[in-house]
Amino acid sequence: MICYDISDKFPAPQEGRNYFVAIGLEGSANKLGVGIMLQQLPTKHTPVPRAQVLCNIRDTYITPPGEGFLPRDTARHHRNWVVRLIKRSLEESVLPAKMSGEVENRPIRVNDIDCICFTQGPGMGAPLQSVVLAARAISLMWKKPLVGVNHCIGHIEMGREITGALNPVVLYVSGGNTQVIAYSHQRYRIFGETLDIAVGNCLDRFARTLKIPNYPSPGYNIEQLAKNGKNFVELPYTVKGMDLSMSGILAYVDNLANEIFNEKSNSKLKYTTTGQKITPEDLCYSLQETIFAMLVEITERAMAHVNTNQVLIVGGVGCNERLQEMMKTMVVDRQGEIFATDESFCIDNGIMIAQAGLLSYREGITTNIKSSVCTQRFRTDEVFIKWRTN
Amino acid sequence: MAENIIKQAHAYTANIPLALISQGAEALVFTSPVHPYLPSPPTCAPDYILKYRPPKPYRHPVLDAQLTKHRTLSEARLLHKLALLDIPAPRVIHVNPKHGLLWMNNVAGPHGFSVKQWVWDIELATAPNSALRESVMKANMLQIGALIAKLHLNDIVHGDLTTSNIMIRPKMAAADASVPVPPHNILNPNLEPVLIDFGLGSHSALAEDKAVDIYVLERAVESTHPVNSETYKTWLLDGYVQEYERGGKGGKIRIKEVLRKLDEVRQRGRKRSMVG
Amino acid sequence: MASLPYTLKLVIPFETSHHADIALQTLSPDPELKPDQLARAITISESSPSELVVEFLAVSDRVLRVGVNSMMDNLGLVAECLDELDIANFN
Repeated sequence: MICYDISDKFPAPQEGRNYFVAIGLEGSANKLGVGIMLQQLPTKHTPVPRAQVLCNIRDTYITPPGEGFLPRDTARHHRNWVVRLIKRSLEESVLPAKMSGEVENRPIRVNDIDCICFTQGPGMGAPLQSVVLAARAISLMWKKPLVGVNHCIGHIEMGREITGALNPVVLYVSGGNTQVIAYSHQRYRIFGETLDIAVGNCLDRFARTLKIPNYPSPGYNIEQLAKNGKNFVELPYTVKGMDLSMSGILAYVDNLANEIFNEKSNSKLKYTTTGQKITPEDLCYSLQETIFAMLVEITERAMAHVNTNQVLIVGGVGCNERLQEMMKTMVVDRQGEIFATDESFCIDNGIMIAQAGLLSYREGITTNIKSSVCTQRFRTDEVFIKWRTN
Repeated sequence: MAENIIKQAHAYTANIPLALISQGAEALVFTSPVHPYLPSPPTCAPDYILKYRPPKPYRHPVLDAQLTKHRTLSEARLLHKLALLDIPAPRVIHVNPKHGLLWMNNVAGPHGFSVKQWVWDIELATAPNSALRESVMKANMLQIGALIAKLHLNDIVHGDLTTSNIMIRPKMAAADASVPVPPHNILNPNLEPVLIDFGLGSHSALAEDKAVDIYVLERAVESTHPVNSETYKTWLLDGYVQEYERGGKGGKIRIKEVLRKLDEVRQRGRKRSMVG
Repeated sequence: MASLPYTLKLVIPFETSHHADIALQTLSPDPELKPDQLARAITISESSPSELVVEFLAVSDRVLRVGVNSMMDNLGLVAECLDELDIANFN
């Protein structure tokens, strides 16, 4: 159980300022991100101010082709880089003169920061812990409160902020998560989700089977190969109501890949019905077409259920242009709107943690250092969304 | 978008008048007074239902064709199985899997409606907690529970149980449909439930799947009929349990397992906890 | 509780008692993953307030080694934070 300290007093910005600043630390998987976000108070002139990204830097732990990232090594990577990234983020962040009221822009100082936000979960245990140690240390050193953030909520709130989508159905797809979410009564409720592995995980593992490089990311490389696919190979399609399952497709396509690359094998599976030899590009293409169709279907179901026609895609797999294209086709057909962010926000990052954390902080929510233990499982609907009204 | 799809449905059903009654994520549902292939309908026939699964342009055409065919056929097969088991549900009249067309009889008929509508109407017409309301609703809710139990006892799960997917209609005056049905009175206690929309249905012997079926219905009742949902849920579950227990010792063992799983599913709070 | 016969005591000197206290608060909240195999206690030394004391009790020497290595990695991170991220450097 995640515990928060909730004060009934809402914090005020420091020293009569009209803005808040938060630093956010993210490390739930192989991306280590640090971001600094500025949120202005509403004024008569700007009743709904847009948040300002002062800095958003990231270092990704990339493994050789054919290998996935293991918790222990990922944790080591984060430990090695987190202090450097925090330093760099402070050095690179500029506080605009417009905000500070000073004569010119100047670098951010520790005293400008209101709170230290960190990913409390869900994610991999050891990497999460590496990052929270740094968060606790600077919280104590700089005497700023901690705010634990749910990783999924970070993606959602960053997506809403960047795109301006008011109340969309959210498709959150990444290496670790696959959920269809809609907001209702101060919770982000999960409508549909994967029954086994996440979409990104399925793509990453297939990339390993094909020994595709992991730089910049395995999913990106599958997307490029898919563009050259010509033959559609039928794969199992496993939508179950509002949920989907991916382990069956992965097993099937892994097996198919092995048959195709095994030169000794004379399997009929190697060929299409028209006698052409199936290529890795064809497999990538077919895999994407199938699993993305599944994602679009469960999103459409959720839209019909909740009676909304806006869709927001967040999470690393949301960068995939084919997925965006397919979703757009469905949404436009329903006379709706689709929203997506670019890779600086789609892929795990620190700024989204700062954003969601600052929203919590302004509602009086902080995390006591004794309650700052990370957790691998942290459901999106466990978080009370105090900053939205119904 | 809808206009093009409706045009397509008309193209497949040349000269048959169609009236759109619902547009879901996956299919459009029409009624028609004309039978798809009989030259003249039986006397006093109700109208017919056409469920049309249109192509989805975002999907690869090979995948799309395969899904349309498979789902239409799967639903038709399930409905056929229900007919063999004598479980009240639409009967298949005609299937065209390639084009995603499924013709069924209209089980609601002119005097039937969804349980959702029925509950709303009764809540308006009767006083809360009155003996009158209970006398009209309780027995029918028990029957609905029993009908779902019958389905589950035959290892079939509905997949999308909401009060919009359960119809309720007056009991037929006689087996012979030529005898006119008496005028409808909202407080008619002699009703019978019929299940519709088996698009997400499947065969399953797992207690967990049956528990999820019930859980989905519970959540639907809570969100559509929040004021008295506890009472309705109790009546529905009672009817369900009683039907299982009528099946002797085997039934008693199986219901224990389903109820146990239901408890687990409720604790876990499956994703369907935000209907509405 | 099963006996944990393999023990080790680390004494880490910090520059100031403030630093030692920061290390204590940073490292304490996380519980041991397998408390029946490895128990750990972090305290400030009674004799010197700028010294951190970490005591381990483990069920085997392998478990002890893994636990101690992990703690050393974490201590390294805390030390780096204290060195590089002092508030004075960024004001």
